[in-house]
Amino acid sequence: MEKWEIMLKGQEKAQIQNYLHTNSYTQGFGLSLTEEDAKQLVIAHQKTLKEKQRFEFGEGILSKLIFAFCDSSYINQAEYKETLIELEEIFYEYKNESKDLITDDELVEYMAKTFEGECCGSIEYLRGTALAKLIRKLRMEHDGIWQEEE
Amino acid sequence: MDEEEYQRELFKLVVMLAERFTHKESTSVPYEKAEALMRAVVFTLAHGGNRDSLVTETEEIKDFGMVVTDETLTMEEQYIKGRNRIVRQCKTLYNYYNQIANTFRDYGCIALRETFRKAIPGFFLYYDAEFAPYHRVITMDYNLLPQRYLDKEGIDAIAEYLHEIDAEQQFLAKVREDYVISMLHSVNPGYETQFESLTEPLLTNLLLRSMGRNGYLKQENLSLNTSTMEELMLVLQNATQELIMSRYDNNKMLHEYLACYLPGIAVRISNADENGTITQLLPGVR
Repeated sequence: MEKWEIMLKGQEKAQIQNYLHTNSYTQGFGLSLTEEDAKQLVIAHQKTLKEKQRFEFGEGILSKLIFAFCDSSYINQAEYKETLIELEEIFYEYKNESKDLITDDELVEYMAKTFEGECCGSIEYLRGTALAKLIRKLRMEHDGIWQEEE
Repeated sequence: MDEEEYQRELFKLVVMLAERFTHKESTSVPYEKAEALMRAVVFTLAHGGNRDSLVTETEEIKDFGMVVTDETLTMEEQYIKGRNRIVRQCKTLYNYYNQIANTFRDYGCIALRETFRKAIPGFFLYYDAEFAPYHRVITMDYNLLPQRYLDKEGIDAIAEYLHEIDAEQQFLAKVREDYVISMLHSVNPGYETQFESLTEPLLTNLLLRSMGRNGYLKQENLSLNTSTMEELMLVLQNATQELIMSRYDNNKMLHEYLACYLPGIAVRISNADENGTITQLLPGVR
């Protein structure tokens, strides 16, 4: 899928700027990214997209994740960048698992709400248990619709 | 436009289509979907290229493979033009289908009936002109020999297929229906449940009759009076030409359609001659 990666080339600068712009909001919660962090996030972002076999258009999901998670009481500056990388990986993993039945905003909202509540800030629990529950629910709902229609 | 600029413009169109596909509720799609959307964009762009404005609607349906890029338009304009053309082509094709349906006969062949009466309307129902215009939707199970539709995609394949069905219907319609059915029963019992075109057995029958009239079959045992395959082929071509002139108002489209069957018919007659079974291809003659 080289062509999708080629098409994304040249967007790095804009992405770095986008990530840095989020600082003006997140600094209120004691979180910020350096330019080096933003560069590493772009690299990680491209790697994740490639691994998860997804083509991204528009602004991308990381900014949304930043705004949704920055007020979490479980995220601190020391692990901020690493947490964002993991959250993005989880987002795309579950986007694929849901067969795109869930919109970006719904998934981000569910992730943030569950991370703060049921998961008590555990990324492992979010990835392994909470989101798996959501996917099961989605699939059941989807199956249910078809059975009723039949 | 150089390669890089082309790729960039293409990318913009794929993004535009992806946003419409996801209703802007998602900022990414799986690679497979992106590939499918890319295919949709390329297919649509091809339909938005420069074309001879004097072509008739029927020619328009047939010639979509011959488009060229329109340098006077931006790629987005060409894309929109292509999308409008595809939609217009669908409507034209639907009218064409209804026109054929008015006089359509299946002669008892289930595959022909199901394909024409169920599958093709299904195409018009489910065809997605925006996100999957390259998709054929249906499998076109009834086999027509020219098979030009196999090289085409989406609406173009269906257009080609309908043209072939139309040609066959025109060919069959000139012969009495009861004769066609009894001849098919004799030559190929069980033809009703098979997927093969009805053209070949009827054309074989008509050409052999013509050969008989013109002295290319020995009257005593109905064996061939020709010695080589080339000679037989020439006789068949002439007989087809005569048939088209005398019974089908010199219909060139039909002539072209029937000509595709001649090599197969030549082999079949030649084999039948070697085995002394030409009479089986001529039920009712002897």
